[in-house]
Amino acid sequence: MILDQLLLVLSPYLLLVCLIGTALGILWGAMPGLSTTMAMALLIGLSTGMTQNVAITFMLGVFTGSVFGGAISAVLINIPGTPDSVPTMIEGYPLAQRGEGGLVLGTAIAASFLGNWIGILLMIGFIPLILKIALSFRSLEMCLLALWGIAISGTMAAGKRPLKGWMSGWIGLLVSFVGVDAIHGVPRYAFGFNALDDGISYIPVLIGLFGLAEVLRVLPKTTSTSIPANVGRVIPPMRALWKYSRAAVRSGLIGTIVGAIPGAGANVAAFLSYDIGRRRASPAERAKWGKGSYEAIVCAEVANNANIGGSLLPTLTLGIPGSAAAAAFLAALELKNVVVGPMIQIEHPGLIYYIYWALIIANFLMYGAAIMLVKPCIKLFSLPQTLLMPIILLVCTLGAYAVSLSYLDVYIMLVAGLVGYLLRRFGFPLAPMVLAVILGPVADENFRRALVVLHDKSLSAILTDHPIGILLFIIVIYTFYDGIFRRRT
Amino acid sequence: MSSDKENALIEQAKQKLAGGFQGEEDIEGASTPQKDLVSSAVVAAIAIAAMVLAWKMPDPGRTVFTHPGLLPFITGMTLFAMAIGLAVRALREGGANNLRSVVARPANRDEREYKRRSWILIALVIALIVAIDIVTFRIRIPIGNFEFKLSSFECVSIPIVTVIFRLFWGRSWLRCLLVATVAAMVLAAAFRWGFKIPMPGVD
Repeated sequence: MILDQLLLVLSPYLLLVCLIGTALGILWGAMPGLSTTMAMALLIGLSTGMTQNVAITFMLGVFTGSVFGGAISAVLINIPGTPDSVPTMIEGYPLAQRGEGGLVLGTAIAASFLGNWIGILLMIGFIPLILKIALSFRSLEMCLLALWGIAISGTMAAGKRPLKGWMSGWIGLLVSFVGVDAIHGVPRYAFGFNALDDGISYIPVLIGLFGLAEVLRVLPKTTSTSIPANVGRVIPPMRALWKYSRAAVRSGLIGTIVGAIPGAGANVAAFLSYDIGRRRASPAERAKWGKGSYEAIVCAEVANNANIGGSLLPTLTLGIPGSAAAAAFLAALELKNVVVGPMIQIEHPGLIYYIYWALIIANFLMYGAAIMLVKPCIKLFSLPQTLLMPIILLVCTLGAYAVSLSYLDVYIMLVAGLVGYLLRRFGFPLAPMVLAVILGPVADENFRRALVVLHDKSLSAILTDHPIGILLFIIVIYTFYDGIFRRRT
Repeated sequence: MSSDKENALIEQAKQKLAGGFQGEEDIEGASTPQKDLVSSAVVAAIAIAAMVLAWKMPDPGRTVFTHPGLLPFITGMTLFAMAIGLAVRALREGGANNLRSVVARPANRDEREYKRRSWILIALVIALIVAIDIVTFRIRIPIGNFEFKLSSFECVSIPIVTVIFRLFWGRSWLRCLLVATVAAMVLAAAFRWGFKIPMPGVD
């Protein structure tokens, strides 16, 4: 079955789709202001017209390409294409000014390639283990897992202000309750609108929060175009990378673990890995940090790319997206009637292997496309955001409509975009809200089912029957305790 | 970009990194205690409304454990507690002072301009989305075996996106119209023929 899936991915058409996705991802990521999440959110609508394998291959190509793409503008024009490229900007731009732009980008490409490998291998290694544990999950465990996903997402997305992250998540939970209740068929928060009886799909919410809200935030800004530094020849220095192998492996592990935590994506991974890398660097190397250090670039780029594999780990095994971009991937899978979670291997045999191979192929193609696309990217920098954003607005509109050919979804996207814009203006993160809209129905249904099953059981029976549930309960409580009482430094 | 500005950007990024744990989304600096106080009041109102509506939900079941409003009520209650927590922190940080700053005209000229442009954009986006829904017609022109289709999507989005381009991109009307036309037509064609997705309204 594993080889069958490899042969499927290696078909010329899917290889071409993967290459196009990766190249588009690199170009997208390189454009300042266009994030990986935005690319993935816009792609959901487009993927409705694709077959399952094409949609998966294309989205994974874009995911892989866009995470690396951010490094190009960070190094060449001192503007991070994606937020996770800020450490690469700090270190790469001064080196590019010294005429080492080609070497810096080569290092970033090699580090991204390695980071992807670490993420993919750890994902492949851990998925069977997590699936095995997840198969034993019952209502209590599923409910607590969903609640923990929303809570930790709030903590990770909001940084020093977890309360705002949780509030964003809880508002998302309320949105997820809209529609006919799954147990009794009672309409909830529908205000008499029959159209809301089916509930609010999270896909237009996702497009609104990460597509439209970004357009509203970025387009009114007055921006100036920058002149890129001289790039030189781009050759990934694989031998030089060997020198930083310890830092690379450590950063890969950090990136993957952070990716597996819901709400924490490439941004947290890159910053954390950069910070730990600086503390662990030799005194001679540490002196270079902040002024142009290749080791620092390796740390940041390996971590943000390893994050891709990490974020897909809980997405595929538990149905809990590891990041907002992974949530968009989950949405695209749902449009193809693929329900991810503990049953994925049983309900969709072979799919997981297809995803492994598609990621591996995308990584190889990213390596080649990145070398080829650095120079064309420089031309892209002269394209102003004011030219791209109105076009993205049209893509958001059509994308939201395409999901179920209902204009109600476009209005939901509009409201989500306006709410997202306001929330960002008031300092609330958006990822917890999306996660809550996705996980809300899981939490609600399993919460009530667990209460019915457990209400007449003794405490000792619950403790012995649900050890994982009890552990998850402690983790949920600790997540809130940690966010409220522990000062983050 | 000038060298000073470039260095300032790098220094700003370094300071952020030195500030400790960074969340996935950069929300630091987006808020003030005054904004927090206002948002806590709005969220508290939403939470109360959610609790009241959850309480009023009919319960066809025999036990409270399956009540359709149970988790919505608990969610509303905890959201209310969080809003109180945010309000208390905002008050401690001086959020009650100068509360009008939330709605006041920004002192900075750039911020004023950003705010003005934001409002115009929001109005145009709402107009675009409502107009695509309201205006429903189609034009079909057979050209040999091929049928050229023009739906309300193209007819509505071209003029509105032209205005958006003109206001934010700042090029000539003709250039804006050309780009808007090409963008709308290419996107409509990609969805209609590439992805086999009909356009909104009558297609």
